[in-house]
Amino acid sequence: MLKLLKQYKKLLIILLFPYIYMLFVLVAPTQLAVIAPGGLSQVNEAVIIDGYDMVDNFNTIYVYSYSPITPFQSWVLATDKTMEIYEMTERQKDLSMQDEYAQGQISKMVSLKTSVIQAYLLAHDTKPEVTIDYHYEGLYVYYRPSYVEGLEIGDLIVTINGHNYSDYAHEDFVMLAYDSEVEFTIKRVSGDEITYHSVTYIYQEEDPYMIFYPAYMIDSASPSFELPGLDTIIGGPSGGLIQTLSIYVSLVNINLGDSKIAGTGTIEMNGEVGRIGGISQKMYTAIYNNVDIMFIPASHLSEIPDIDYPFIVKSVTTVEEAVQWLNEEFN
Amino acid sequence: MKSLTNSIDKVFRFFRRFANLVKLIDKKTTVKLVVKSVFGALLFSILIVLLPALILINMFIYTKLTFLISILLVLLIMGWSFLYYYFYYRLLKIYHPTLENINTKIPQLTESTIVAFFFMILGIVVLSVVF
Repeated sequence: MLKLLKQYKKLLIILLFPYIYMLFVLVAPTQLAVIAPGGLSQVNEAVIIDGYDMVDNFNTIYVYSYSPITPFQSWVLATDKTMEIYEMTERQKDLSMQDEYAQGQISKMVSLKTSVIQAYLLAHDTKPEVTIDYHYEGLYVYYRPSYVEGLEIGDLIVTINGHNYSDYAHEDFVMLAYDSEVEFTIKRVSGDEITYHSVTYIYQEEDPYMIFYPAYMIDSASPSFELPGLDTIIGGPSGGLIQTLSIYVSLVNINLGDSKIAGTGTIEMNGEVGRIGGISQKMYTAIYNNVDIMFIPASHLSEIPDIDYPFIVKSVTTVEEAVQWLNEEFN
Repeated sequence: MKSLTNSIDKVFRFFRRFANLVKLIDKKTTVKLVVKSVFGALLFSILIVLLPALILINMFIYTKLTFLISILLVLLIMGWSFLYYYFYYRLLKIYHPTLENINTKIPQLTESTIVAFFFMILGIVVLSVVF
């Protein structure tokens, strides 16, 4: 082997430095993250309503998020206007891949449940036989500083400093969680066994704030439903608006023809449509997938790329606004 | 019919020659130096293939090109087998000067092709499962 190395000694010495440099450029992590255009996923595959055919017009849009990227990727992507490169947030730096996956799954679960509740409540106005009962059950942990022991992403917080969720509305209960010193009681369900754990957290100045999602449990619904969308690996809350519309349209049976409708925006329990990440990348994804109508949160309207879209861009602040527009356009 | 028989005969003759050459090489080599050649060949071939492979892996960020990049990656791995056997026989000849007069091209190309074919089948199976 040494004989072979000696034979090409000069060449190897010359190539060694660019080789190591290239290796570094291709492997070393930067402090940058990127959001890239993704694809569409049909909502009718995420929800099944007993006795109803889910319309196949609605699609949620997903984008890809990579962090951290390598220097090579940051150079290649710098010229691509369809990608968004940004400095990783403190929270992103703190999270493992498993944490990010858990975040995606927990936000998707909350989003799907909220969509079902909102859609059933809206449909109840025109079809009184559609009913739903639900109750508030605490807070899901979406982000916590990773050094906090015993507190995992997805944990359900039922008491904060001795105050139980049942005595509060979500908006008030979540405020208790932002005290500088808190003791959480965590409820964990494993099969039939329910256990409770206590976790104390003292806020440190350098800590990013925790993020929580409301936990709403659906007690009963007519018609009954299933959520197969919970079993997919695609996560995130940004499909909330479009899931709500899909369930609503299926329940009240609006004929949308063969319109391909996509959209993005979270859904809140008061019907508001919330902001999402990667709006530009979602607009490009909609273009690549030939959609006819695209719903976006109104607050993002000024941020989307200034190009001619080959589809109708409908910005909304509430799900009621979107429902009204669909009724006017298609009924 | 005759041409078919001729072709089959040619294939059999080729593999007989390949088997004889492998036996001959085995007789003239020692386990210790074969192991050294294997590790040396692995080292050189992986170092050469590493950079293009990393470039391709980095390019997976372009989600529209995922399928194309996956095919290129499979081709690169197939190419790696040719590089590996090239270095393996090169090192083997350096360690065993008595092999200089033996035609190692046939075992080298035959074994490379078999391994590349294996990677191709594996690649097709993996790609068909993923896409």
